[in-house]
Amino acid sequence: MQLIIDTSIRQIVIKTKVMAEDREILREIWDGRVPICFSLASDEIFTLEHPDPFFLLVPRQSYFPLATDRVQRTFLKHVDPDNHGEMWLEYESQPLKWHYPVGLLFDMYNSKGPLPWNITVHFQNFPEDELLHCPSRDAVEAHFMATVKEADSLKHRAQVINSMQKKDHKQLWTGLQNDKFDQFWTINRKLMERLGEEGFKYLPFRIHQVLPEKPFIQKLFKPVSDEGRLFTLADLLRETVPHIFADDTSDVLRCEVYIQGVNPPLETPVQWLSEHFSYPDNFLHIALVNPS
Amino acid sequence: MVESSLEVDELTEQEVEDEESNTIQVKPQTRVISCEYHVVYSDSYSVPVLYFNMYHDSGKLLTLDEIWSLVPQIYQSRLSQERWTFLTQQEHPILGRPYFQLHPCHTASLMKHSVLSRATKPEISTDTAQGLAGVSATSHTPSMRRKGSYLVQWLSSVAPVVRLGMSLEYGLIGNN
Repeated sequence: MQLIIDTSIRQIVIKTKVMAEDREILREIWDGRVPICFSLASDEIFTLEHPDPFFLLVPRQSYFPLATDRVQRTFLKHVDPDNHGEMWLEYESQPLKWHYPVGLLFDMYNSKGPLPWNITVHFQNFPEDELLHCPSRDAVEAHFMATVKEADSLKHRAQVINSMQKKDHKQLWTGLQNDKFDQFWTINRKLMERLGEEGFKYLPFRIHQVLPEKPFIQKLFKPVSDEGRLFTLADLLRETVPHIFADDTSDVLRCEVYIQGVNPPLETPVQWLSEHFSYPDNFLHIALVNPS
Repeated sequence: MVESSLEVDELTEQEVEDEESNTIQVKPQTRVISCEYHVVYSDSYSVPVLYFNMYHDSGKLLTLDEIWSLVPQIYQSRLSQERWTFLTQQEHPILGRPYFQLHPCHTASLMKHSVLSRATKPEISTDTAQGLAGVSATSHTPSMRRKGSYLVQWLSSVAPVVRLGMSLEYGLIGNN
């Protein structure tokens, strides 16, 4: 089977490939961008002059707080200076969780929508029962590193992450923050090693369902059977979300499965997906989207 | 899940003018904070994890800074060195809503140093995870009592950090 990637933003066709060319896939995933149009909520505009919408190409692998400094600075000039709080983002009445990678949020809420993705910016009525606060970049770094550590606990009993020095951990973060592929992957490739086994101990993955909105599904799942058989995406989905299959025998799905903006073939081994399609937090984030 | 309330002295004090002597007396005010605690078993770390929320009487959630300031003094130096890896806001794994969380990495190392945990740590399977949170002093089987000991040991290590009071009766679990 062969792997070919057509780099138009929305249409990526994937068939499997092996070895050296896999690194090209890592680079393609890393370079993925989504075009976003940020607009200040109209009922929060306080100045006579209305701000223009703000257009940005945001990296799929990043987090919104890392990309929206200029958006915040620009729009803050137009809100009531005596009545504003932390900035938060919303799409069609859905508050957007800043601690989810941008690409995952796009897959969940706008995989089939028009481009650019129109997001509304708010500074009032922060939805505390839905969104974590993001008091500073330290919060983003802490969340990112905690997720990386959890992933390695699942993959390697945390042996790899715990054997790294603090500066290696820092390099993962600065590589992500500054969009430096090589800086990031120099360290991350160690977290992707199999350590002499056929696969990771457990697969770090989360399944995100959109309609209806539910907490993500995360369970212990071995990517390789005791006999050495590589489990596929279909195996993972049958184990965790069997209801999305139309019946027990065929692989027909009731919804669409998005990982990194594409619908991977169900026979793809999850070990391979974990090594190549994970986000920088080392988790395989899978979005289940209702067909339109 | 445990709900309790916590009385704290007001973080800012109300000033009262004393007209006769032209002085200002400062009166500390006591406020009540409502707390909610959950114990959830983490498959990833194979340990129980404490999640909690604290609300002002207005219903507003405490900020992270306010939560950090409520951590008892004896933990403050550790907190100041490692605050972002010690206690932060997270998404509750079952409810999906924001809760404060004591990071599991730290509780795992806390338990490693406990003699009791070496002697009695059971293989905690995910099926019994939900039952762990509800272990009572009247558990019947020996294995259940051992699991109770582990949980009590863990909870007594982490509860003071988040101002969760524990009755001494918990210490009787597993010792029958």
